[in-house]
Amino acid sequence: MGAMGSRAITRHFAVAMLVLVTMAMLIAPLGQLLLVSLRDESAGWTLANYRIVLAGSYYVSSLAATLAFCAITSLIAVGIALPAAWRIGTGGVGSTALRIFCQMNYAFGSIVYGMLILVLFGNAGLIPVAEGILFSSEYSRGFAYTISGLALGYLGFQIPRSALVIAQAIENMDPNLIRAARTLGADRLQIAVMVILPTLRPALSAAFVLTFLMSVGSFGIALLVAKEIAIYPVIIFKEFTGFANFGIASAMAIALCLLVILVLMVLRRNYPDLELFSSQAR
Amino acid sequence: MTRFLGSCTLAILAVAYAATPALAQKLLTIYDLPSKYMDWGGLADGYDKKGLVKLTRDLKNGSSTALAAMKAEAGNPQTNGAYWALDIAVEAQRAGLTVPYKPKGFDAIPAALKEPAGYWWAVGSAYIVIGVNKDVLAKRNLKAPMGWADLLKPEYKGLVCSMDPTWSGTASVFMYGINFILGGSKDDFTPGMTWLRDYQKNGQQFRTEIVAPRLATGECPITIDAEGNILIDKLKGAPVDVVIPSEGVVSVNVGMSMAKGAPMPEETKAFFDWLLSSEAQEIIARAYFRPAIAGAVPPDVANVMPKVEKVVALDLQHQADVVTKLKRAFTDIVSRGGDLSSTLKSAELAK
Repeated sequence: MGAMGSRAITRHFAVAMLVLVTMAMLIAPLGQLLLVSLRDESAGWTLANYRIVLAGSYYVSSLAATLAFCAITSLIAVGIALPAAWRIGTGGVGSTALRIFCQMNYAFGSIVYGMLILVLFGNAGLIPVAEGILFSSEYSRGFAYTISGLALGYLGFQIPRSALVIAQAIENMDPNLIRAARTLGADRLQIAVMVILPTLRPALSAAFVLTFLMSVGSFGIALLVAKEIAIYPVIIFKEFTGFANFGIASAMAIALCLLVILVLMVLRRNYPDLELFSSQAR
Repeated sequence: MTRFLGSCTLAILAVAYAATPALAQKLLTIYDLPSKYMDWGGLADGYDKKGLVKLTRDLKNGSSTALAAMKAEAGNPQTNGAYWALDIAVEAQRAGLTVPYKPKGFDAIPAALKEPAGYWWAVGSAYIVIGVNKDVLAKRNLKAPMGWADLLKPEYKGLVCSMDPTWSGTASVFMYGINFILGGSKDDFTPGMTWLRDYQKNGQQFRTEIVAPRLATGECPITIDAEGNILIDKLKGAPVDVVIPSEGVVSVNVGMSMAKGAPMPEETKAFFDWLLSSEAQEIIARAYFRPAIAGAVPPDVANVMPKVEKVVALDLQHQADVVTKLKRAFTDIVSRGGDLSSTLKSAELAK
């Protein structure tokens, strides 16, 4: 057995570990959820939990509101992230700092964004306190608990994460395209609208989809500050901990999971060239 | 890359190996000892010092969460016992999740605060009252509210926080009890639910976190909470005070249960015995909770405890019967704005 052989064994070992960990961390709990969601009180098989989750107005309206909320905030996030991504991708002044700032966000759980929003915009947050001192008014008091406050919390993690996805595509863009456009006499606006945006379209879609999926699963911010909208993961949490309604909670989780898989499948079928589906797009 | 992955795996194994003895070193798991409630921080420090075991703190969030976790783990129990509001302890007993144990000192607990066989017993109790941050109210030229009805008035709009009854035992006792304070009955939860709905409509909040620390910072200028959690900050110098509502108060009784299949029964029993000792009962008294065993209150603590005249007694068994239905009705009516009378009727909580 030479060096190659032992290396192959290490590689197989690593892959085996990955499979094991994935099984343990993802497939086993999902299987357990699926089982629980299909059982009734007397441990018989039933679809009742799914009927309730997919027909009950409480669950359906929360799901619809959450999907709409996440789609809108993700769209806004991609829009806001584009200039930052351009700076990171083209390597201008401050691009490294900006990249590090964006990467830092991966270290924060969603609950951290909830805390940040509370520190800034809670009833006694920095901004309401400053506003009170400067203007003796209190327009920003309790902003954290409004739907806009919640959106701001989501944007906090959506913008940096989508910026990184878009920045990768910008790095990979062929600079000759822009040079050619310039040679042909296009001005900056024309280059942006007619060359850059169409080239980046797959990356923008990928950033949107990734951000959207991440947002749909986000829980911490909503648990802390969502008062005006019933965010689906929080409703799952309430069913689980507040009512010990494991069947319903599991059915909700599976429904959310299937929905995400469905979205990905539809996208893959319709846009097979999305960066999201290509492991080479880095 | 392989080498990198290999080193990663080695590193993880090394960390796991190093961490294992620390975990195995007699960590006594109890759901849920909240360090900022009833001074569990102080109680756990006191017990840890004895060098027998190390207690887990803040492991689950609230009584209902502890119950849910124990239901989920029934096949493979993780906790040795639980600290919770007693109505939840009754639910747990009915669900067969707990076993009886009579700790030393059990006989000294008043009969209403223990299950005769030892399925649950109180270690302390507290009245659920109104907490105010005097600085914030002064800044707003507001007098402290006098009672529950005041919290529905426009001048207090958006200033009040309580915990959400779907996770907090204290809040679920209050959700049940406010009905009886305001003249409701076991057949009719309309008065209480109306108050809860109007409270929410007045911009007041049901929080997903323990509200006591938020009162001192002014994030919540007014709270609904167990009296001890407010007093402990007041006596540390925070600008907060307790208001005993004129309409009356209910008491939240908090105590312990032994988990069925507890992995460390002997250590747990010793811990439960200690909680009724004069040492532990005095720590509870010094957290301004009323200790389960009479006579445990030092005079300097007794002097600062608020005088409560109108206490509305609650039927623990009935509370346990309806608390889940009531939480569901609360979610439908208060959180979602559903119709009050039809929801209560269909839940058989009103006629």
